[in-house]
Amino acid sequence: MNRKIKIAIAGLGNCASSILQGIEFYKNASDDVEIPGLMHTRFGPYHISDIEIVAAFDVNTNKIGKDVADAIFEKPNCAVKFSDVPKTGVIVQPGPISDGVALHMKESFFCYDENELKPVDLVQVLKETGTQILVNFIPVGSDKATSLYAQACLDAGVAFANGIPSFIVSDETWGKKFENAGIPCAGDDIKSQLGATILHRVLMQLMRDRGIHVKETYQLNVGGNTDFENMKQEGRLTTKRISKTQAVTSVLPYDVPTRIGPSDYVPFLMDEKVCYLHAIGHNFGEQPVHVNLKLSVQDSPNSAGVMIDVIRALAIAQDRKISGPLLSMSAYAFKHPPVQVPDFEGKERVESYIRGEIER
Amino acid sequence: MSDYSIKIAVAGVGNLTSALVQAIYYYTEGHSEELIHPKLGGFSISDIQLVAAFDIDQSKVGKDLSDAIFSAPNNKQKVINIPKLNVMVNKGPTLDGISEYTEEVIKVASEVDANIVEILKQSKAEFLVINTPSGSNQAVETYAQAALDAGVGVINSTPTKLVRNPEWVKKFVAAGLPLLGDDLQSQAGGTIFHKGVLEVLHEQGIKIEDTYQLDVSGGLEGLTTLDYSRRQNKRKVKEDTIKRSIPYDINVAAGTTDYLDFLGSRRIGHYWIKGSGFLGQEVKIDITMITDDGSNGAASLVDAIRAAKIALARGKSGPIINVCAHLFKGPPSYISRTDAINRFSEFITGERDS
Repeated sequence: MNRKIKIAIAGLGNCASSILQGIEFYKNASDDVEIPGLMHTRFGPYHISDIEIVAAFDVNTNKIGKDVADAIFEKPNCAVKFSDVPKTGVIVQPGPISDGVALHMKESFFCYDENELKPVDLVQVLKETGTQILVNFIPVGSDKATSLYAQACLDAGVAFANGIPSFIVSDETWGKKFENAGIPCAGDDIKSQLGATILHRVLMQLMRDRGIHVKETYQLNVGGNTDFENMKQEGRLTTKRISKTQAVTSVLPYDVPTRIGPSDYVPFLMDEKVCYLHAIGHNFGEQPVHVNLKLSVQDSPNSAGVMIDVIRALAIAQDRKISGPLLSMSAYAFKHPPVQVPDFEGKERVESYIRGEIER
Repeated sequence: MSDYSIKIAVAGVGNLTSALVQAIYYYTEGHSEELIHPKLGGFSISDIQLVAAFDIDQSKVGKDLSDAIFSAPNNKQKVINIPKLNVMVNKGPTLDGISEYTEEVIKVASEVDANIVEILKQSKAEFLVINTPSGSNQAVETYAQAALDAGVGVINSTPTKLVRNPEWVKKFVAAGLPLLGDDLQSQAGGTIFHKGVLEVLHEQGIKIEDTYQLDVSGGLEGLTTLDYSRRQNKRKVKEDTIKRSIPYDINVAAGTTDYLDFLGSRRIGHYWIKGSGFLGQEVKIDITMITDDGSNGAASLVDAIRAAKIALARGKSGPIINVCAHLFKGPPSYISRTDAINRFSEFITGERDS
């Protein structure tokens, strides 16, 4: 019998919804057969059912005070419901607002009024609940709020999984802090199971390997969830663009005209995300090669399917007393890791990490 | 120059103006395959004569129009050599012609603003074609007022409301001057194409649910529309006209989504339509369309200019509804695409007076 992995989630949006549904959905998944939708039914010693939520923070008045099992289906969440979630007894608590709520998002997020409600003491809650890992799923562009959560993890001795592109794990100073505190962390900016980034990276790698010189490429992403609504403001998505763009351009040894980013908010798509990927290259005789690809996917389950592995990788690190950024898992599971590694190699390194052949 | 010449002044010397100038020379000899109207009411494209031009960019102001149209940030491809035109680009008013996104690309010329009214009068322009960036409302209105003061008709390629603004309509009617607009609809542009596909599906009994059209372009127009409020402004015109092609409410998202400088004047549109057919079965359509932005707009502009001349010759003033409905995305009143085509033809032949 394994220990339970006690997690807290900051930002109970669609991604959190998909994770909690997934824990229930896959609780009896067998180790012996291929399970649709999972990279690892068992990751090292840990089965998905070993993950248990013990705390949750949000700023949404529809969610605060409710059991997380109910809160994940409150507006503006719009993730597909693929599983019931039994009551957990864990009540959503008010987290710090800081820069987590853009001006144009105040209403969409049903953000609480700071005159009426005070955020909880994060460190105290993390300690009291026995949280071992905090998953950061607050809105893109929340650099300050992310720092607050990261600092709370340092103070409470909790591992940190950073799902958003506010650079903590890939930041040298923060990385050192976690290492010195003896706490593992993984990030930044979760890379989906089969999302635009990994597809684009693999396509670029393939073109490179086959001698195709890439002349131009773009990746347009549209969706209808609050992630896309939040990023309507160009200023909020600066780090997102960096994260997504570097993830792709780092594959090629030369500069290519590139444009990548969340491009538009199309409300009726809800949690569906659509990506258009375009590339033009030159092959033998400098003849043109055009690639056009459309990817359509439910956004949140796509990221939850990866975070579920990140959580277990951090649990293993805690068992092995490894601290600081987990390089293998960060490269495999995040768009902006401390060190980029080609994806196929990244996968191998994660397997080596699980087997204990490499330290981090 | 034939007696048929149509004298045009142009505000904004961007890719669209470049394509317009090139078209005048391209279609003087031989080419006519792509033209719906080689002659329109007796006028050829080569009858269009540019007599004055305004811009704010230091790379263009003070240059001959034949050079200015190929000056950066313009990136419309050169399809034909243009002789010296002896039309110098004047410094126009900047006002809101620059957005926070284009201010790094456009360097405003240091010259003092030219007297638009005076130049229009001296040039004997019959029409002022306004090709300034989307959302430059103040600039558009300044040019429109100058045209009124100079006794010159206006063709408004931008989404700023002129024909849809009763105040402006009143002024042009009172001045006895034709007014065409708003927001030029390209020959094979996203909007007309999108409407056409939706209409065919509707005619065939497909119930349409959601549709979107996401464009990316490398023209300055794309950069301008990175500004969220300008983008929304432009979008609303597009989305409303697309919605009107179907008699019931559908979800529509349409418009320029992103700016990719390396596309040059190429525009790439990604279209998607979801509906249901017989027995409630899903119908889904994915389309990619690649066009050249400047040329695509100029194709409609050369028809608008010649139609405006016809209106002027017939003594018409204010919005010419049947011309606007065929060639612009924001006409004064909505007429279905097919009706608009027929009425436009009837206007040209004289079966319809206005």
